[in-house]
Amino acid sequence: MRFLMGPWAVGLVAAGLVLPAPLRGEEATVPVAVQMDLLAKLIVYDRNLANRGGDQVVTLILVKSGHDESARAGAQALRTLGQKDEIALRRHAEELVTFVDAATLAQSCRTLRASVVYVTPGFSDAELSAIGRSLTGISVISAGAVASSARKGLVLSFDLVSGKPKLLIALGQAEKQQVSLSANVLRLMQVLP
Amino acid sequence: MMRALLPLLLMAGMTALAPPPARAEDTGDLEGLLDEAIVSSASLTAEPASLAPGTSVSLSADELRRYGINTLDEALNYLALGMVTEAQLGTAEVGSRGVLLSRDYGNHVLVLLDGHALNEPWNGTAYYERGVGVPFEMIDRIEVVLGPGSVLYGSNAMLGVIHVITKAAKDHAGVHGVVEGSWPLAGRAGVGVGHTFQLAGLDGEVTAQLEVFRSQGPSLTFGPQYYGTDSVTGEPKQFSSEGPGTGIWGGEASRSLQLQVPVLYGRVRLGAFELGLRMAEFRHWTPYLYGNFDDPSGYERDRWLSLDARWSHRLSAATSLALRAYGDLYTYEERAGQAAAEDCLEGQLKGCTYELFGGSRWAGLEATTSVDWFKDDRLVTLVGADGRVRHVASDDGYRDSAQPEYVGGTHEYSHIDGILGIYLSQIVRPFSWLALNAGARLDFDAGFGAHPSPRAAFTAGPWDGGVLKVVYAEAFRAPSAYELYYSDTLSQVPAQSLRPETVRSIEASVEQRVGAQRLMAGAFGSWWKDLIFTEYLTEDEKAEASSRGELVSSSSAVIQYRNVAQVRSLGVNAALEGSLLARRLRYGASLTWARARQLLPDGTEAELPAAASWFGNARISYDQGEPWPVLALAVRYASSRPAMDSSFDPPPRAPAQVQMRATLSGSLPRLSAGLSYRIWADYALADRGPYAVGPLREPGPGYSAQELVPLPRFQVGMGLRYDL
Repeated sequence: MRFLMGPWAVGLVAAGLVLPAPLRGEEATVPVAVQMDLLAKLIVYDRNLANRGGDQVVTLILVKSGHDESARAGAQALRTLGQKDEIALRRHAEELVTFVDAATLAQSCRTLRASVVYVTPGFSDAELSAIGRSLTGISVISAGAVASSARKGLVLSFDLVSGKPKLLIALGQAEKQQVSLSANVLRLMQVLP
Repeated sequence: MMRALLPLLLMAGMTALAPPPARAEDTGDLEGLLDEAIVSSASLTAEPASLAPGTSVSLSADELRRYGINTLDEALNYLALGMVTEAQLGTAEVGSRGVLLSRDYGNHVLVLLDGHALNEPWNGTAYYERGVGVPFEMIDRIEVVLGPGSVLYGSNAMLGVIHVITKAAKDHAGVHGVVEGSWPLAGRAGVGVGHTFQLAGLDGEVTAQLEVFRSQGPSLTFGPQYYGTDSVTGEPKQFSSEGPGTGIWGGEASRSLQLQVPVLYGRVRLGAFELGLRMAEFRHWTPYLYGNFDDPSGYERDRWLSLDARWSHRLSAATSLALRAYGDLYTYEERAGQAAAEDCLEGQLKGCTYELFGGSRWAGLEATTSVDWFKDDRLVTLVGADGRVRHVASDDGYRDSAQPEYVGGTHEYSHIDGILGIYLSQIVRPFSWLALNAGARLDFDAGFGAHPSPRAAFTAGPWDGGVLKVVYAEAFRAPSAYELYYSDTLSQVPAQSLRPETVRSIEASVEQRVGAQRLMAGAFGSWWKDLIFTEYLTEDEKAEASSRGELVSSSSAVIQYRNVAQVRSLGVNAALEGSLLARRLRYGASLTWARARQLLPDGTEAELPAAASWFGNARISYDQGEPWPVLALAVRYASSRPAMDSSFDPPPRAPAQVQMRATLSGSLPRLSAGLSYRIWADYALADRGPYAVGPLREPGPGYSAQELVPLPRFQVGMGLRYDL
């Protein structure tokens, strides 16, 4: 036990408290590749998918400048989606977008006719909330890598419970963003108000 | 031709099992993705179980509750693929893929709790029943990785790795209370808490649970076995300290089969720093293993105190670092009353009490860094080092019943050493459907120098929903301190130059997912060398030992730990799981067949005692929806297997075992929000296990069949849980 109380252990504690660290709440607990597989399967069931982007599914992968976890998740998402032959039986395109502000994101969604916005880890509660407000009225699925995202402004998020992936959906935000899933699909998800 | 046919055949089979597409949208594919477990124990990175570099299964908290599982050994028997346990009354032995090395104290499987190894260095012991000492409500999942796992974890991970992972506070939020009781008499009570908070701008959480389990009984009948006279006194041998000796062993055992397990486990996290604490005690005894028959004063007691501190940080988009410091205290006590003079030291004519003390303390530091060279999981390198310092000590002795004199130190030892393991793992994913994983660990031990443990795995998903996997791995177990240092001048001489036990394994499997249904089939082979068993000394060897002062001249049967055994196992396994009716109906099954044989010096082979060649399980549950209970039924099977510790030729066989557990579970919102219940009943068809009992182990007058350990056949229990 004295080993644990040695100077190095004290340094360990100090490092953990002082050094900037990815907060647990900001970590994606479901592997990003699995998130992309789930997203690609899920959007098939969105009744309004056909009204967005026509015969192409455009995914904007939102990364936060200077955030390592965000950059890594963005690269993984880009690669996973890029390796798919099709998404929802449609052509698809993915693009890494560096977050400037919510209004710019909303404009990008309109301009590029985005079907999906995937928000990587690293965004604050305020930023997620602003994203949610800016996407209101735009027909787009917003999905966050971090489990708490759906409670903070996005439509969907991914959680890991007992080793199994879990989808969370904020129904109110989904309605604002014209995302329509049947009860048959919603029963597979944790529904938030 | 076969490459084209195989996926078609598999998909045809799965399609036949899958329900016809509903008129509404078919969500089977989505359900299948949501039902696939994400595991991390096989490679230290989170990934779908089908893509892990080894056969991995994950047993969720929901499954544990749904199927009435109360202990780790029950989870392995009823829910897992490839592992099986055998009950010895109070403790359980574990085997995998046909190999079960009886009396190994569980030291061929590495058991982890949130990344912290539970196997202690004195004897390598890990427990698989109540003695694992983990509050059950805190368990989020149990990951089981079959086959050699030393490439990342070092010693003991030969049969596999069992990783118990506890819940995060978000999944254990609030205050929880649990009360359970069962017949034969047992009870468990616990209180737990889970809470998230913010401190100094950092996210934090705490989870903790305290629980106590006690059981007494059941009452089981043993013998009678007519042993005869005490070789020292010439009188009928005493098997009890009460009353005169009768020379007869056995009777109704109702007082000594007892377990007591208090446990406290907690974790605190603040930012990137996490601290874990575990305090546990496992007090247990059986009517027949040591000492007097059904002696309530006898006991074995294991105690643990573990501390674990870890810190993780992402250094860049490509690189992460994790540091872990840990320390453990472990003590073992055994106290066995022996009323017979022939079981005691010379002069202890009124009997004695044998007392054994063992203990270990160890502390270590582990550092792991991961480099994702292209930041997109295409090329990932994992490098780590784990060094620890250990102190082990032991002593035993005999306390004379006629007077309080304690004669100890027939052997005692105390040793300090250090070990170091360095590991490297390289993952390459050049395409979305292909992954290559190669790695090795080098373990340095003062006892045997350096030992490498390599692994190579190939995983491919060449068609939709299909995965092919081939894995080669090696593992080892370092000799335990008990094997290295134990000796006494009566019956055991010190071991000399023990080498680590080794195993090489190769496995191949194919998995197919069709919607929410999943089928897996595989084959495996493992080759074991230098297994440490005890061997009897020849007369010449005994003479040499006497000349060295290691034996008294009157010693008769004398043993020594040696690297003497080889085992080979070849087999196949299959598993099926899925869900139907909008996931209200869930089912699963697994089956393993293995031909495991010990290779004897004369070129012949022998079955492994207590190891079943066929074993498996099946389960089904139906969620009727609130307010009705979830109905669940689980069944396990183990084929007939030879008994351990008998000199009968051929060795007696325990009958095949079929055990069933029915469970009802649900909530009681009308009584109180947060109140839930669980009722279970367990029935076993076989009433005998594969362990010889009693002093008679060979044929004799009036004793023509080896008595095997009796097993309780029926158990029923009920529990209430309150979540505030």
